[in-house]
Amino acid sequence: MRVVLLNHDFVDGMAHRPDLAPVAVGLGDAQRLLTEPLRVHPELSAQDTGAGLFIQWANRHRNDPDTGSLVELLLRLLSGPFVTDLPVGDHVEVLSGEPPLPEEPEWLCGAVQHLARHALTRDGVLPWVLSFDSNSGLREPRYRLSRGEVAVEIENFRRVVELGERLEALATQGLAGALAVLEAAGKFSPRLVILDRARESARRWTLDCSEAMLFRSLVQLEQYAAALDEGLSRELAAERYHLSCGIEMSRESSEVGRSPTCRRQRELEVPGYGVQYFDMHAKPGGTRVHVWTALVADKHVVYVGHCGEHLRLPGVRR
Amino acid sequence: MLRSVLLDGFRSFQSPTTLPFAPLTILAGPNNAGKSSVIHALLAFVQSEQAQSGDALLLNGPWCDLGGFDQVVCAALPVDRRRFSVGLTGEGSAGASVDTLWAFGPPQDQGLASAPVLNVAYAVVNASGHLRRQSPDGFLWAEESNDERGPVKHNGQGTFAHPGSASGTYSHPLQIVGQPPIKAHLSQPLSLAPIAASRTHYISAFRSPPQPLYAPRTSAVGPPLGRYGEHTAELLFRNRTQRTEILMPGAPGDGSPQPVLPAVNAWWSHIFDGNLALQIDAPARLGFTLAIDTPSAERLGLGQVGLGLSQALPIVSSCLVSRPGDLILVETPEAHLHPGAQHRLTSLFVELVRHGRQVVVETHSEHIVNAVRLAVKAGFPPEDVSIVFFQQEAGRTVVQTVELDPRGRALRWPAGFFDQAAADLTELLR
Repeated sequence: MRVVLLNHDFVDGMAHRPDLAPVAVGLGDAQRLLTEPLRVHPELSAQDTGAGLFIQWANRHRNDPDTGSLVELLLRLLSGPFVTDLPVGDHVEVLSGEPPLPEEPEWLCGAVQHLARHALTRDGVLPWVLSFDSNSGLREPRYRLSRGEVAVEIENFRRVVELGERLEALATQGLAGALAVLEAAGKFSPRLVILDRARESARRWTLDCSEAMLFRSLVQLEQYAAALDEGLSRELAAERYHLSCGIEMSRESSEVGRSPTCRRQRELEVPGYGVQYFDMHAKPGGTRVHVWTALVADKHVVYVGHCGEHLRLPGVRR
Repeated sequence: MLRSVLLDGFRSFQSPTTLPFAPLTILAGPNNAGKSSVIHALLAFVQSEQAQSGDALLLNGPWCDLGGFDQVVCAALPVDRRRFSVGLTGEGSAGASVDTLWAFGPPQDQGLASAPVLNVAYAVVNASGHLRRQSPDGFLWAEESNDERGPVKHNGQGTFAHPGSASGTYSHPLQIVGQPPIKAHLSQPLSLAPIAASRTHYISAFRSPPQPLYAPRTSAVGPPLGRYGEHTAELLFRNRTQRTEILMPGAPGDGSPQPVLPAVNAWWSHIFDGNLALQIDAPARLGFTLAIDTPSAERLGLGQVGLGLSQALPIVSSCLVSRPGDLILVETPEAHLHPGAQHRLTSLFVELVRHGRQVVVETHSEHIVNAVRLAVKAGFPPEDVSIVFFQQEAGRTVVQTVELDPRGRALRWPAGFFDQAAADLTELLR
């Protein structure tokens, strides 16, 4: 039996994504043809939130400003793949028994709220897609939760605590976004000065490493600055930085410096210091963090001028 | 082949902004976001070359009118920093890589629609250097290069034929046996721009309506089609026997090049899903006429058929007259075209790229973007496509690139990038 698992929120979510919008229309039509207009996974319907069944709870809180966004996110996450071959009809009793649902699910924990807050403020970017791994067993269904290039495996989302943990892990892989991490690091580290150009680049960047890694790459720039304080060269300070956090840092090649257009991309106005060449850059994943340092009262201060895409290299298109 | 364009202080490009170019480049975004500025910056170089404008960038001319310097320089810049920069990278006509950044300042005579070069920094295959304005008429030139003897430095004077072409003159000691040593003045040409007027085709957003008689060109300057496509008939007439290898997919024959006019008819018919046969005449050399023979054997003027046909004709003509290595700049090709025709027109752009042209399309059409995505899904290399999305934020342009995976899916879908249909659909679904 072919089962359509969807709800209106999920269809709406798809409609936000241009390449899925026709599917959303098709599903809308399919939904109208179903005898039961709103069908969600029975396992989801049966989830105990601690305040009643999930669907009842979700419907009660849909317009609640405090939890509304969380509800929207969870509906999108949990309403399942829009079309799946999961044979719910015949096997629902197999699924519903075990494992037992936890007494008090901790799914309103800070991590999930953090996740919801950031995920839903990023309007227009790819929605989450929860897909069922058809090779997994029905007793231990596996799901893959993905958003663009970010994906995480969820072995069993029937245990809500486990889901919370999974979501928390997921939140470190791109949900908060580069800008949020950049701002957080700027507040955390007094030696870090975030330039507006860095904010701009971070805002336009889909983070391709974990947020934890980006955060580490930024706050550990203190190590780089401290090494410069000791009189080390920039290259040796970059090595110290690498040793301290495991993230590579290097200076742009002479070819980049020789290229007028590549150099101009890396030249940024630093308040009080004029235009400076941000050739030192940390490399957390595919993200590039370009920095320049100034000596202020015998201490080096790190200016972050770019946090985002790999800047163009000579002779390379991208 | 252009690889990138950098604009800084140019119109709404307040800060240095680099746009990656590929064999097929799509410039998309809302109105007044800065898309045309990119094309116009390139056209300014092209018209400066045709006019041999010396050390000034011609802002108004036969290819485009940018206005005076004050209209071109970013209004948000402080008075003491009113200058703009343009950077171009790519391969020149000889295939050598070029990477050049120009800075332009205000003209001494505010009435002039030109911007004099302040300085130029360049890097070519094995040399880099700069030309800096020393006086109103002179430039200091310095270059470092490497040859088989090691590093070589030249210092001297620079002169411009136009901003994209200069020469550096330096003195070299010369010893002739039996003569006192003398200093010879040697000149070195500097090819600074990866674009050339003779290899550029421009189809503007405004295309002239059908005419009963198209007047012949009186000047060779300007785009081959004319500024508004008004010389389409003449271009086709003069090139009717030229052969093109841009054949319609699935066209009968052995794939060998065919004359331009039958190729235009084949593509035109394909785009409009019909059977159209264009007829060009030059009655008594007064000008040129265009007519269409329809399947019912009726001959109609271009004005008697749908406007979309006449609007697409300059695009098809220019594309098929082009040669490998040419740069084709097309603004709003979707104008007056049905979505299906837009989709099929995009297949022409893809074929052009497959045959060595570089095509830059400025568009508001998601049908064109989706047709490109489908071409990628069908095997067109995603690295041969650059989709640049423009937005205005607080009056200045910001750009994002939209990269495609081999399935034609966007790896990132920026907010506002062709999502209006989806947003409308969402409302309809509520």
